[in-house]
Amino acid sequence: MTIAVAGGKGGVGKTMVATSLALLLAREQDTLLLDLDVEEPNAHLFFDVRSAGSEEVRVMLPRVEEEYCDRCGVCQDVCAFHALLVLPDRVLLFPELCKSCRGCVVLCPVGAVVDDTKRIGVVEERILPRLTVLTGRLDVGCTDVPALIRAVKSRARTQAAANNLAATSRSTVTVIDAPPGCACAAVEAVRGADLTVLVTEPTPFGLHDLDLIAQTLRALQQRFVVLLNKAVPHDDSVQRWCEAERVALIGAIPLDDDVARACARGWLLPHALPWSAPLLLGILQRIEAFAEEQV
Amino acid sequence: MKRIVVMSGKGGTGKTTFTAALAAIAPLPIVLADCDVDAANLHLLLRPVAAQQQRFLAGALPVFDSRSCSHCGMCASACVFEAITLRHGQYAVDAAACEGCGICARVCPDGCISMTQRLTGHTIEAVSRFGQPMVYAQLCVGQENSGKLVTRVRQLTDERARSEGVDFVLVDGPPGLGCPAIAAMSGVDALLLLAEAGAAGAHDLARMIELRARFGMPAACIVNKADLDAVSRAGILERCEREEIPVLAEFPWSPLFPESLRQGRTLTEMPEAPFRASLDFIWTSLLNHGVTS
Repeated sequence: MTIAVAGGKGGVGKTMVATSLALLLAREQDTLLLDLDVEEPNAHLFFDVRSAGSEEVRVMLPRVEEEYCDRCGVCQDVCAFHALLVLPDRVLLFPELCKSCRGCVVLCPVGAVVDDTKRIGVVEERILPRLTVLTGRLDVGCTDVPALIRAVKSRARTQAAANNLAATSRSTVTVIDAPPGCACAAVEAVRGADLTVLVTEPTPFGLHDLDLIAQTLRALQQRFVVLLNKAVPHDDSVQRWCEAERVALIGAIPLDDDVARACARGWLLPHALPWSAPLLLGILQRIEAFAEEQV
Repeated sequence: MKRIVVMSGKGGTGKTTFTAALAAIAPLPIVLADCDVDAANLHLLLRPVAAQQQRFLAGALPVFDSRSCSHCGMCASACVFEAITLRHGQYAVDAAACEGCGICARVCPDGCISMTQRLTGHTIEAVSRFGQPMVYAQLCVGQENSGKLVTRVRQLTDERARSEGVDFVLVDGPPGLGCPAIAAMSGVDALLLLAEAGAAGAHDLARMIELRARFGMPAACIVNKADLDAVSRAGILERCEREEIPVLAEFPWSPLFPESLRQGRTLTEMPEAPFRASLDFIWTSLLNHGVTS
């Protein structure tokens, strides 16, 4: 089972929710927490454990073998991203523009363009009892965000399969901490999840961005529920949105300076604030019920 | 023309709240831009009028003519993004997975794939309720190319500033460090970094400072929610000092911030205009103290 935590707007509490859910799940079963906010990964800050190792992520980058190249210009012509420039005496490659589509390799008439790779970031692994945290960390200056997200997910699938072979009881559950926004990075992160939990806050910004990410998930035919964070009395805007959109609201976490402080300090909410543990457990049970419902 | 962009790395640190508050008390004519094209919010506070919307086409998407398709499958096997699948006996593209490289159309032996431009989003040119020209955008659902849309917003903003004879552009930046962030930072005169005093805020600021080093423009910093975590705050101040990034102001965590959003007001429009002196000082610094080089 895979549960993604997304939210459109930044700073609504995605990482706080994802880390709390992972912690509670790991009490019962093998759990993977994937930090797919690869531009600014933060989930690891909540776990006081060193990285057990990091694995480089490389993606395909073409290389032109100049001795075979006759400067025909086909590679430049086929590259939709303008990553290749054919000069009279050589071919210039701009690695940061390349999207690794392999068109130049496939279509070079003399086979002078070959597969090589470029590094885009790392996957870090942190191991706790029954919980593995996999963090995608994009190299600063790189932009291959969806590719790195795919690499972390692929790594997680291998890990989950290994866990499941070794497990005697329940199968591994995966929690995804998604990036903010509604563009390709968020889409890549939540794609294929059994259920996405949209965290929001009762402000015009929170509601506006909730509406956008909800439209995005509907277009992807992904199921989702809403979790209200920073709830305040006398504001039922998110409740009304959920009723109008027929989306389940699975719980509310109050706006509270203790919660804000705990999060800022990188403390896991169920540990830092005992009153929050039963609240979060209830939220988790509702999430599990929704996630299992459809399959 | 001076261009200043508000950046943070982490989302939710207060970029839009402070951009709007600075716009509300701007001591000179400015043009505003919202470069968070995935989830633009500045217009919610600045409630612009006279909006003119334009379609923004970028990238490409294959269109299949199934009549001439021989089902050879070369398109699907050439697509490294696994965006082409056989559905009900017809090849079709998953638009959200497609990067628009067009290799499918080039390898198709039957000539049944053509590439069309895709509607990536809309740009909106308007005037803020404080009378300032502003440009923002909305990316279409789940689209790629948000970096290109950010670049388009920047172009329109510069054109607008030139045509109106305005010398100062204030840009509300996107979160993160990827394509939209890089597009928002390219060619600006200075960054106004909005840090959040927490473990995540400090971590993300450090990466943003690393990205800024590649551009080399000057920067100044605002620390928000400064009272939440003393350790992180100290780390942020120390890092800024080391990087010669002046810290212009600090703001506390306060329910007043979300409350002002709920009321649709900028900070200085709240009763007793909280933080007005700090916000004025930020403006003075942006205009006078070498932050704008």
